[in-house]
Amino acid sequence: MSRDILLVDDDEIFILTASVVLKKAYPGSNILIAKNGEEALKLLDKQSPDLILLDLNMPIMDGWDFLSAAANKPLPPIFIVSSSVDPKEKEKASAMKQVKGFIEKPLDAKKIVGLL
Amino acid sequence: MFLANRIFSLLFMKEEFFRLLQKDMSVVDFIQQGADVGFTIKKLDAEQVEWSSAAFWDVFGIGEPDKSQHAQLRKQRILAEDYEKENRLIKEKDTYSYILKVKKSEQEVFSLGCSFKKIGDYAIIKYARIGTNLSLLFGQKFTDFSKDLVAIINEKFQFEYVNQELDKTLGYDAGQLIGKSIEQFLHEEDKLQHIAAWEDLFSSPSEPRNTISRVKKRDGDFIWLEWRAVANADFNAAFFVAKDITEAKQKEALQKSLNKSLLSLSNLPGLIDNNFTDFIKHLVIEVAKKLKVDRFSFWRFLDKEEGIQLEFLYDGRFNFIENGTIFKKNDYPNYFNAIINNRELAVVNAAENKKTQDFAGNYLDEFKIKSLLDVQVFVGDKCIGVLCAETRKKRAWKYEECNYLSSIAEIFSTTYAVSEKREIEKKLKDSQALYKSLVNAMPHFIYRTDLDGRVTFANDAILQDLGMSRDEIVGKIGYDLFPEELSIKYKKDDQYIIENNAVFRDTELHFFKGEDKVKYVEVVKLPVLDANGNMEGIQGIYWDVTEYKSKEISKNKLLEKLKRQNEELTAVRNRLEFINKFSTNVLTQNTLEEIAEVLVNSACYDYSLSHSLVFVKHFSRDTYEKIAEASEPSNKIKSRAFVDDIQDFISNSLDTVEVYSAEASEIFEKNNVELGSDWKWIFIPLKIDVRSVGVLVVGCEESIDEQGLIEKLEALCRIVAMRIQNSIGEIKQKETDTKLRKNEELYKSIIDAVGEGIVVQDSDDEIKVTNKSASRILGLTENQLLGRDSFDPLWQSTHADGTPLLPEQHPSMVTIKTGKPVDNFMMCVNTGKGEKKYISVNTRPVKDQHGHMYGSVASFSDITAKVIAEKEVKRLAHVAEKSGEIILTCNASGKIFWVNAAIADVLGYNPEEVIGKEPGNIIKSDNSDKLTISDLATALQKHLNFTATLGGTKKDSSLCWISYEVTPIFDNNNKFLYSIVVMKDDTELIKRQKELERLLKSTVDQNERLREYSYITSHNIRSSVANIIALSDLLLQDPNEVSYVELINKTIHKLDLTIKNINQLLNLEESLDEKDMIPCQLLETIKRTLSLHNELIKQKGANIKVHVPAQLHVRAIPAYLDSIFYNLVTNALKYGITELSKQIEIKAFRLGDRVTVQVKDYGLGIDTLKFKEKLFKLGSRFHEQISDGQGMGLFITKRQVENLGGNIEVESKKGLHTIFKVTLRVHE
Repeated sequence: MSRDILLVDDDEIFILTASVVLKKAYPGSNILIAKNGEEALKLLDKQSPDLILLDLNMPIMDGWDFLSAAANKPLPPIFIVSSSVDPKEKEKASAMKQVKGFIEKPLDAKKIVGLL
Repeated sequence: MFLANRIFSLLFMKEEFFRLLQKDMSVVDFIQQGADVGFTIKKLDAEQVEWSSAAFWDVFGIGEPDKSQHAQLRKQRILAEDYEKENRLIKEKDTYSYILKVKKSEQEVFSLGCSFKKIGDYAIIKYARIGTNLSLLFGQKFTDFSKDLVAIINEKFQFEYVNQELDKTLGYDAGQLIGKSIEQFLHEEDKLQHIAAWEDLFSSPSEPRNTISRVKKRDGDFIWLEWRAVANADFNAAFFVAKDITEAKQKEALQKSLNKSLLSLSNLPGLIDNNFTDFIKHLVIEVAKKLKVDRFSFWRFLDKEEGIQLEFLYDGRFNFIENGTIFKKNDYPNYFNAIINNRELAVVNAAENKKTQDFAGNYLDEFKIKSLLDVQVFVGDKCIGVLCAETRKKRAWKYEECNYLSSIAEIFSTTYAVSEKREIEKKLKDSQALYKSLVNAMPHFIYRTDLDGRVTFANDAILQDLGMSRDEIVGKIGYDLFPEELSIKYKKDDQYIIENNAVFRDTELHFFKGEDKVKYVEVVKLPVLDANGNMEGIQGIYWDVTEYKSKEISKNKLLEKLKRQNEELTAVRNRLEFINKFSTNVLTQNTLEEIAEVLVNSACYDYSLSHSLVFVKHFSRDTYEKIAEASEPSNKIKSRAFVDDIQDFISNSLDTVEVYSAEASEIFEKNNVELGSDWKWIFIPLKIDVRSVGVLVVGCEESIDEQGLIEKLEALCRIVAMRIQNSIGEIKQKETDTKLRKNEELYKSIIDAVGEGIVVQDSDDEIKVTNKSASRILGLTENQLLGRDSFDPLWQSTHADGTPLLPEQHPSMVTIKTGKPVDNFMMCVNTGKGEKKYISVNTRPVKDQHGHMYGSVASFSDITAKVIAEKEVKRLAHVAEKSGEIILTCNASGKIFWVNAAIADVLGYNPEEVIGKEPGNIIKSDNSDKLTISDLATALQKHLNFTATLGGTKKDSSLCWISYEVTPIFDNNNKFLYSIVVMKDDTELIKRQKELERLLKSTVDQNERLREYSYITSHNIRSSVANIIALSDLLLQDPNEVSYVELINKTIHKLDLTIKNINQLLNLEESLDEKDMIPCQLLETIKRTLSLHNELIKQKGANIKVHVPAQLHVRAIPAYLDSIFYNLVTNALKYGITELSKQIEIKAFRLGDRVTVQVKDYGLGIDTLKFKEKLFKLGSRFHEQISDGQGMGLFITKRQVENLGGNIEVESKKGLHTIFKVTLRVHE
């Protein structure tokens, strides 16, 4: 089965590394990429990924803005990925319904188990 | 004395009594009088008797009882009514005499004569027997102490009682006369007379009988007593009161004797036969004998009264002596003075009397003369000599004797005068002739008649008057000579003289028969005595008093006339009084009915008319209405028809009086008025001048005389008409007055309601009107205020500041003088209660309807509380000045009216500059404070408390912060007086506060930034590290993938950069020191920056325009400045150059103490709406295409700019342009 995973992050290197890890973990999955929230929204109009991995710190539209903009859209499980460990952010993330979890960068096989 | 002693010894034990006695020793006298007298001493109010003498009980008729029984027995024995009487008298009088009846036994009652004398609280009463069966009638008149001689005589004419005086007079001891018959004391000659007089004393009604009798004294002498005898009611005793008239009688006797002597002179020898010498001799002897004198002489005055010469002397012993002794005036001046100046000289002691002392030693001694009586002899007016009567024994000359001698002197003078004439001297020898000539010489009419009334002599005057000769008249009687009526009278008179041997005097008509001339004469007729003293005829002398009489008759006629006039006047006066009373009565009535009542009542009762009515015109109709009616007997007419019937009659009599009989009577009868016999009706108009206000109708008997009645009634009608007229006017006047009074009251209540004091003064400055508030404020009643003026020193008026207020400055005076109003004049006055009050006065002139000013009205309010509070505030404010606080006071509209001196110190304004302004506008604030200023003003106007702080500038434009504290002040009645505003200079305080705030903010900002830093840095570092971990993991799994190594390298470099940035950021947190800042030329910096970008510029093909004035210098740190502009230019080149736009503009211009540099590009633009906040924050990246930035650039630039004391803004439109504006401080 072909599964789409949407990566929303402006960090190219992360995208690269994350993609490798994800492909390795979920072979056959499709990696969709959005550089920022705005791009992600556009993408969601056309496509329905099965999983979204969302970064918070992005230019133009960051993660939080994306979440509020996409609130009334049908959304797959969203996991926030972030490089910092800010308890406030964790709290904020857990308050949101769409957000199913919080993952700390970098991604590794262990962290992504069971996402899909 | 015994009695008195006894009393004294008894009483001595009673100290009180003794003291009383000492005060009034007359008590002793009282006690001492009389034996057989009983005494009782009792206290005034008590029945208890203090003491009774033994004699009392004797008198009382019983033996002396036990002392305890005294009072009881007294009471028992004395007849009840007398007992009460005694007690009453003792209380009322100080001394009195009365009779008490005492019971001897049931049947027998006897009387006691009593008298008492009060002494202190006691009365001493004495009782004495006065015989039996005397009634109270006597008791009243009986007195022991009277000067009258009193006796009580019984039916047998015996003395029952004799009073002290009578006893004394008759020389008897008390009681000696009791029981004796009064007759035995009467003179024989008088006895019969008295017995006769007293005969029926005891049988007929008790009239007093007056008699005179001689009564024999104990020593045998007789005295003359005049008796007055009255019987008592029971006719068993008589009350005899006598007066001793002995002396009077003696005088009478003497007079009679002397008179007799005088009369008899005409019979003396010598007179008849004209022997003058003889006459004188006999005269002298007669006189000497009669007077009982030892010597009687006549001395003639020498010429010019230089002396006297003895003509003849009769010395009883040696008979007649003619001697020529002369006494000269000069030798005996006192005597001569005395006799020349007096008609007589009566000397009792010649030797010692001043007037006769001259003769002492020789004449008096020689002849042993003790007393003398000298009388002058006048012939006409001239004194020709002196008659001297002398005695050898001392002699008190009696009045009668002096008179007698005077008469003698007169006779003497007459005879003497006559003797002067030699021819007459001859005639003197002829007694008849003498007499005749004497008589004829007198101007009087003299005649004599015998006892039968025949004329024996008439003098020439009569003969002439009658026209008869002497021979013709002798023998005629009255009837012959006089008309009958006169003669009857004369006869009667003569009869009287003869019978009574008395002198007759009269004024009578006199005319002879046939004579038509009537005379009035005064006549004296006396009996003529012969030598033996027997009456032999009548001598008459008369003289003409016709003139006098006619005058008297006229006088009487006049008196009659006056009396008649008086009666007329009295009648007039009575009439006037009546009218007056009527008028007064009418005038005091107020209603028409009452006025008319007076008239009808007067008509009926004063004039006895039977019926009277008054009709007055109805106020609106043309008929006359009955408004009053009176009738005797009461018979008022009630029917209306009567009024209608009578109208015609009334109309007819509006102008004149009309009298109707039958016709009018019909109407009355028709209306059931009972009329007497024929009545007539008089209609009298009530007229004033020609106008009539009504009619009076009266009914009376036909027979009554109208004229006088109408006249009298008309007068009353006029009075009533006027009063009616006036009363109508009065009613109108009353209505007007009531209206006026109501207006006045309204006006008064209005001005009273006003809270301010109101006072109206006339042009003389006197207060005429006041209101209640004025009284309240000034502490004076209305009455006390009225009439006072502004000058009254009681006000002690001063200006509000205490300086004296001159009269011309007084607002009322100013208004009165100038006619101009005065407003808000503040002054201080002394109230009626003596306290000082401040008042604010407004005055206006008062004008009448013609516009003339006749006074001023002042209204004033009590501002004392305010003034006092203000003064207090000022006092406090002056204190506050020292502490640098501005204190000011605002009025009710929020404007300053006073400020203390601190305002100059604190804000630099003089007080005058702020007076009248609002406190919020003193310091010039900017708009941000507008609301606060408005609130402050509102609080002041609404008299609320308020606090606020305002920023503004002082006068010197320096910034300041002033705090305001507003406190409204109210008086005791919660009336707003003013607000106190305290302004404190809080500039320093606020500055420090603001500084603190700024520091706080900056600290907070910094903290926030640091937090951001920590976040960003940790995030940035972490993300790089995460990447490295991921890459290295991949590399481990796939060692051959070289790209991983490149990426690791890239990431590590990025990490390095990040850490460098952190340092930079932290460095930016260090505050810059002012002294590090130096002036930097802007143009030079920009040029240098641009040169650093040469490569990029070329690459991008950018067109850069620079408009920066060369002289602009900013205060900055050069490194910072470079960094700032480097970043901006980089951004502009990076994001501002597009295919379409290659232009970049850099402009700089100055504004005040700032410089603004603008870097403008026409490139991509930024959506400022979206990103304004985020633009200058850490980590912001907006352009994904060119994403090698870490989002720190603008953040750092901003920090740098701010550290230099400037600020940075951006203005951008997406897709059009972007302008970055940096503002920095200028360096001069």
